[in-house]
Amino acid sequence: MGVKNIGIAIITEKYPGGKSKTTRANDALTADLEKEAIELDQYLSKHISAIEKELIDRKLMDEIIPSSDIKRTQGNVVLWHTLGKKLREICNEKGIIGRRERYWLWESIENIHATNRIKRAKRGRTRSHFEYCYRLSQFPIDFAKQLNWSEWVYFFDSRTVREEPRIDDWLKTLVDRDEKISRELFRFFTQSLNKRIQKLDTSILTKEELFAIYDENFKKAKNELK
Amino acid sequence: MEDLTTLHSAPINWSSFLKQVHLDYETPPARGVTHGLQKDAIQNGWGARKNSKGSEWSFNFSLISCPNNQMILTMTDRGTTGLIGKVYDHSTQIDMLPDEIPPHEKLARFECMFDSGGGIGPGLFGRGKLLFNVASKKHLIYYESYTINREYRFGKRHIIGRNCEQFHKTLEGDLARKTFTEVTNNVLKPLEQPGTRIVIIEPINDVVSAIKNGNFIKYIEETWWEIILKYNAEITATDESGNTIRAQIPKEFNSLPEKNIDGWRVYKIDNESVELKDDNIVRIKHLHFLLPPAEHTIPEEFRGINVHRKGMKIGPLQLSGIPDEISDRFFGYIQLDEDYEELIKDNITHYDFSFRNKPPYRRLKEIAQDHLDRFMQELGYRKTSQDPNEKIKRLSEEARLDLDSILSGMGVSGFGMGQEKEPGIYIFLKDLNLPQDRNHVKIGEVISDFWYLITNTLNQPKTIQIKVTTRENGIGQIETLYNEKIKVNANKEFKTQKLKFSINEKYPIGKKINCIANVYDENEKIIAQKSFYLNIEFEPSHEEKFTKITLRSAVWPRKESHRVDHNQSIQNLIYEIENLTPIKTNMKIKLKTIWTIEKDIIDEIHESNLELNPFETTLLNIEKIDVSKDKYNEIRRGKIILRCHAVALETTALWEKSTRLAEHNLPFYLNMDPSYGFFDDPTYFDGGRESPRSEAQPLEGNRLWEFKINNTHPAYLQLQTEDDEQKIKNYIFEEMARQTVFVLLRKEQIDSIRKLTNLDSAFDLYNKDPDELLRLVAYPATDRIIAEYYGG
Repeated sequence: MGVKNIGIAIITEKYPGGKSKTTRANDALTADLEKEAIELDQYLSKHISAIEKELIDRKLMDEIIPSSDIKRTQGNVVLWHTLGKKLREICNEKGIIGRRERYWLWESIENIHATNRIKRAKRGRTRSHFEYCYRLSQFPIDFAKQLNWSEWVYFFDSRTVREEPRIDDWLKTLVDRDEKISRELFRFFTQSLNKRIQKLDTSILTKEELFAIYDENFKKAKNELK
Repeated sequence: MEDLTTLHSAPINWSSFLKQVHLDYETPPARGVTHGLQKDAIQNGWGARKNSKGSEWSFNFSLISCPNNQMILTMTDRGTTGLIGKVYDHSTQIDMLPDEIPPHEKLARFECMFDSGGGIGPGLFGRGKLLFNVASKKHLIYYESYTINREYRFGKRHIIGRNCEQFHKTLEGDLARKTFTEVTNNVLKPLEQPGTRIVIIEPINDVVSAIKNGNFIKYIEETWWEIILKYNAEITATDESGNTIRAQIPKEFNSLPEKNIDGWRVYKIDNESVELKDDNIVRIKHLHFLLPPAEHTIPEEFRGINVHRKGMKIGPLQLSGIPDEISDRFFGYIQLDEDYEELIKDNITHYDFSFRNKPPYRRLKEIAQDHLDRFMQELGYRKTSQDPNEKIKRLSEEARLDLDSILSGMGVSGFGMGQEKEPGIYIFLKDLNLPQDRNHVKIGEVISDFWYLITNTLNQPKTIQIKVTTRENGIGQIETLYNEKIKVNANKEFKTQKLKFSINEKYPIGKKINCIANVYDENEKIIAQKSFYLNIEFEPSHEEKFTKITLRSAVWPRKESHRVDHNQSIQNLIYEIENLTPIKTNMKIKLKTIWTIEKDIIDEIHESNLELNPFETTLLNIEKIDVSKDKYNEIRRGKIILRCHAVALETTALWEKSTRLAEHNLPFYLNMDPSYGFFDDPTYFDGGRESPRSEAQPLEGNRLWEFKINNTHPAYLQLQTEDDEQKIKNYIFEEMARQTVFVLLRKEQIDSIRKLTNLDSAFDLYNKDPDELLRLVAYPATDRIIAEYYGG
């Protein structure tokens, strides 16, 4: 579970008339908190459309809003990494730290503020497209760009990755070591890691113990592909 | 000398009975003592009104703070007949009354504990009369009545310990007035107008706070709006400062528009005749469905279609096909004529119906469903030209709801209930130390220091025999290590001495040896057992399962249901955690709740470290799991998994650190009733004439089951040509019933099977031939469900 924030309220659903239908809050919904939720909603309304505009201006995506009933393009790592950075800025500015509160923010953006340009198929809150963008943005773009978006999605989709946030810290050690990772290696690493830890609950391991498993698995993957 | 052969009535433990009444009102669908108090009190008053329209009738609840700092609650009806009828001597005359006390004997009806007023006088089941005592911290109430015949009466009912104290005969006239004034410390003056006043001495805190914070009047408005609307009935509540609030029509109803207006969509039918068996024609007086505009919210207690009886809201009718997107604002009610009301009586607490599987109730449900379908069509939620798949889906849903209702009514647990152990005798192995943490032992080694703990969780003592022996699999006993006959008192435990045995020449090399502890009852039947294995001089193959977690017991907010609503809790959970290996195991136990549809953790409830000796079992107690609205708010309704899992804290020869050793998953259902039988819609398969008409297949282990219909079976194809909805529904229901019994047998839900077949506990289901199993179990159980469906 994520760290519990103090007093976060997010409007995640609205009636067609624009009135709030669902407000998620991590505390009793006081009048003050409700006011904050409305302010955040107004902020998101402006910022998300500004972000979309910026992504268009930077030629990372088309201006045309795709219709819901057609399959949207997958998008590329630069686009989603840039979006993730913007989303991270919102989280930092608004003090949205906990995982649950972040999910509410993604729900809000998905349901109210974003267009189909940046939305992707709903696959449940733990497999949120915006969460994946957010997670990706913590790595340098040059590192992220070594892989396709589909490889990143495959990685983030794994239960072992979704439930163990410390794997992001381990990936950063690859960045620090300036490891070069190919798409094939990364896919193979993800596959074998899933197999290796599917019967484990890694939350009880120390960082050293956990990283030793990742290191061993990464080494093994590299050797296999030599 | 006393004649010892004279017969007396068996004594009643009144406190215990009071507790049961309290529990009944706290168990959903009842809404608690405070909600029940207004319902029962007003029902008594409204039932005693002088004329059918209730002109001059009123009812008042008043909180009064007395000079001696004692708080009292008065509940006064006016414009009523008062407690008319003869005054009987409770010890000598009351038994002379007929079993069903006539309606005009209102005083006798009020004073006799288990007589009801037939829904027109005090207390349909007599529960309400005791509810008043439940609502008093002292379990003390007074009642006075001034009748339309100008008689004044005063009585008292006080539950103290096992006794119920009341006057031998209700006091009358001046003595009654004088005594009433005295016991109420001159705070209250005797009634001078026809009516009845009940005085609750020191009302419980919930009642006091509900009157003060306005919830009490909201409860009244929710329950009694029909008579407020129709007869302008005056019902008021006065707090201790003298502020009086009069109950109104709930504002959310927007005065219940009768046609589409201002964004409200309305469906209303009046005076629909309903033909029941034997040419009995009754009427639905009003059926009124309403859908407010999208921005309107309707509190949960008003949602759905509620049935009213005698001016009072009873409870919701379970109908299918209300889309999720409107379920939080769709509401309505059904009112019946008096004849129909008589046929569908409410249950003891007045929050549900007693005869849900009888034709009058079922017919009402069918008609309401039919109107609901039409309304949904009007709203665009259902296509007018019926898509055949949609139709089958709807009929299946209706069949499933009927099956749920029938199984629930028969007290049968659903498939998703999980297995909980009942109270009984349990045996645990303790402190077994195996040489070098393995059960591969050598001749000459000694197995020592182990002992057994036997617990009796029954509410009565039990005489048992404990016998510990070693045995060679398939051959027989090697030696007896312990043999004692003892008595274990209720809810107590017994510890054996430490035991040991040497692996000597009696133990065959290369064989698997079982050390088995059996607990026998008085009839030498094994009632508990615990064993561990040793391999004499050979390496065992690795066990797949390292630890086993079972839920021994849990107290759920509702009996026989895993429904939990916001702000309710699951209490006193006892998990049994068993080490299945010869290795001393250090583990972390984690308990959490997971939102099934989102696969997201909602609450991490418990975490503790545990060390278990080889083959040892221990219990883990979890006091309660609060399903608070704060934590579970984002899940409006849905399935939640309560997961208890064990993780290895150390690497051993069999596993590495962090291995998931065991997992126990138990579903519960937030703000919704679990399906008793099959979950979700049926699926179809093309099985043709060679395959059965339907199948049941397990999903998620065997906790959930899928119901599959063979859509190319000749019987099903024939049905399609007839296009008769009722026949299709009946077909689906019968197949579902058949598969339900199959699943119950497959899951060994013996208690459920016994309930369906009336088999006694001595009937051994395990050792039956297939033909006996079919003849004595499967067929009768299926037939019983089907009989209930077609009208019991």
